[in-house]
Amino acid sequence: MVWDGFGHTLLGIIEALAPLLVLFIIFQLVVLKLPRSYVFNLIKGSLLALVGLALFLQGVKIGFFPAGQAIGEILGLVRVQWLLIPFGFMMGFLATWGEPAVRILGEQVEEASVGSIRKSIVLYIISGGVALFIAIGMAKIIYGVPLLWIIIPGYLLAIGMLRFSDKSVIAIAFDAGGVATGPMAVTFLMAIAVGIASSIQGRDPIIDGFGLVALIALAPILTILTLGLILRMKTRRKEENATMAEKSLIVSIVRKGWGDKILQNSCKAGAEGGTIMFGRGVGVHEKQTILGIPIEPEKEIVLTVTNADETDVVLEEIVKTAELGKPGAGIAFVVPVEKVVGVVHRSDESCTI
Amino acid sequence: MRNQIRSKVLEVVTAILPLVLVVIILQFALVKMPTNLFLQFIIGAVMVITGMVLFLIGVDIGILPMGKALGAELPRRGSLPLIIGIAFLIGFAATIAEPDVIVLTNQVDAVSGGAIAKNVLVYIIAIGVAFFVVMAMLRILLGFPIAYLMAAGYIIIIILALFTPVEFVPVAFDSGGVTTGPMTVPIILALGLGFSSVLAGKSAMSDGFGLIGLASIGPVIGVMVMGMVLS
Repeated sequence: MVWDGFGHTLLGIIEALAPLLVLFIIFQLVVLKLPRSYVFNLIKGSLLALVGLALFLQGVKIGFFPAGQAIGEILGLVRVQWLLIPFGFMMGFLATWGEPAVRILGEQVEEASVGSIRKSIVLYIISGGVALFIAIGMAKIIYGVPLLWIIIPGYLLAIGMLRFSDKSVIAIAFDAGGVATGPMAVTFLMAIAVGIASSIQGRDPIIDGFGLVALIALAPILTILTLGLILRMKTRRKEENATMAEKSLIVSIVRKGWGDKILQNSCKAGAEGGTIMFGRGVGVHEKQTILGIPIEPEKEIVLTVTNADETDVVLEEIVKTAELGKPGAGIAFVVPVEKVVGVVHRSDESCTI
Repeated sequence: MRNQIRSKVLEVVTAILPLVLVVIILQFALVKMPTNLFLQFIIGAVMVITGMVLFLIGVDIGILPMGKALGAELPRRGSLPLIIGIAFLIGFAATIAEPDVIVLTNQVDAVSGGAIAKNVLVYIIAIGVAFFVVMAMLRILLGFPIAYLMAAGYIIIIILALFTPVEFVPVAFDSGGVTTGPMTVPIILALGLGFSSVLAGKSAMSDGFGLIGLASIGPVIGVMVMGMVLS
């Protein structure tokens, strides 16, 4: 009972993941040539995601779907029908709050904006928007309003707002419309809506119950565009103070994916730690363009502060690890450092990664 | 790694627990579903929490970096057909496999009375998604403003909606939402972010997003056109 149709779900996810996995492996073998351990970790991660998602979907199917139907059927019989509107608001918020894809989008937005747009803000706005529109959707079912009367003005409003919005906000807003309609919303909220529609007389579950997904897709578009316009009116500025330090600093700029390996090996060679940063840039051996736009491949920059007497050993290890002798592999250089704050000396310990 | 797991568990529990608690309260106060169904819900909730922890960790350490690496490598081949081909392939394959799309085709079947074969519909939706993923990649490359594409897409949808048979309208709009499921989202998202991150003058923040949003337009138009053709 609990595992009914699990194999089918698993197969579907494998099919969705397969092209990415296969293409990645081909690229890895032919051109990317990332370190082996890094690739193994990626593949391990993908398999973890695959199993996790199958488990998640199965749980939604056997647990949340029937529960949603049962709740919907009972609620459709409630006398005081307007109560369904605040109830819809609450359920809309909670279901979206539990949607995995919304969290992934939030995290990526936080990362891409270097933390200036926080993940939690994205979550609140998307969940709040869906909550509002599920409430509207409940009103639609109770009073029998046609879907188009809500959808068309909604999208016209969104199109109007496009004129005044920043392009990154627009892209995120419409992406949010796509991610909000995940399995929680589509199965659980829809089951409640169809249950309610089938309990209220004169409502057709197909016409009145469905269409809810369309409202969920519209909701975050409008809320994010609105918030973007509000934020646009404010401008912020950040200032950062960096303190630099004694000893010497090895800066290695290498191809993406090699940073971890360098960190590990430089630790073995006696460094006390390191910092990996991401960047982009280009060297003479990799100049390329597409449609006239220069390509700047991603790089990892490893910063390693070492004692002056250990610098050469560590540097040598880095050169060996990242194959810096070859053209196009990257560069490393050493700069003297005036002051260091925050290095606590523990001569008997070496860093273990 | 251990810290990462701990923080993910905490995140997922705070994500799912409120909803579970509300259902439990409703169960005792109002709904009173049969005990075995309620037990099944509890088991389901445990599966959802475990699954989501694994999924989110796996996406973080596996799928996102993989998709970004692939996306970042695409422009370096310097071949436009290759970019178009791979974007199309990934969009198409991910959609065909999306479990929600299967659910949707059953709905359409119910509305249209079986007038159109289910797998034909799946292909129509998948081609719709794939076409718009390609458009989205080209948009990043050519620097075409996303606002125009979105506005044009939705204006077409609104006009079509007025002429589409009533029973197809909700299904058409639903199809836009369901095609971008939990596995498709990180894959397409990472592809766009990686792709834009290596192009000079573009950045992940300003150009990398928008693929999912554009991908949602295709199937809506596809299903509406199909509804009009059928009637």
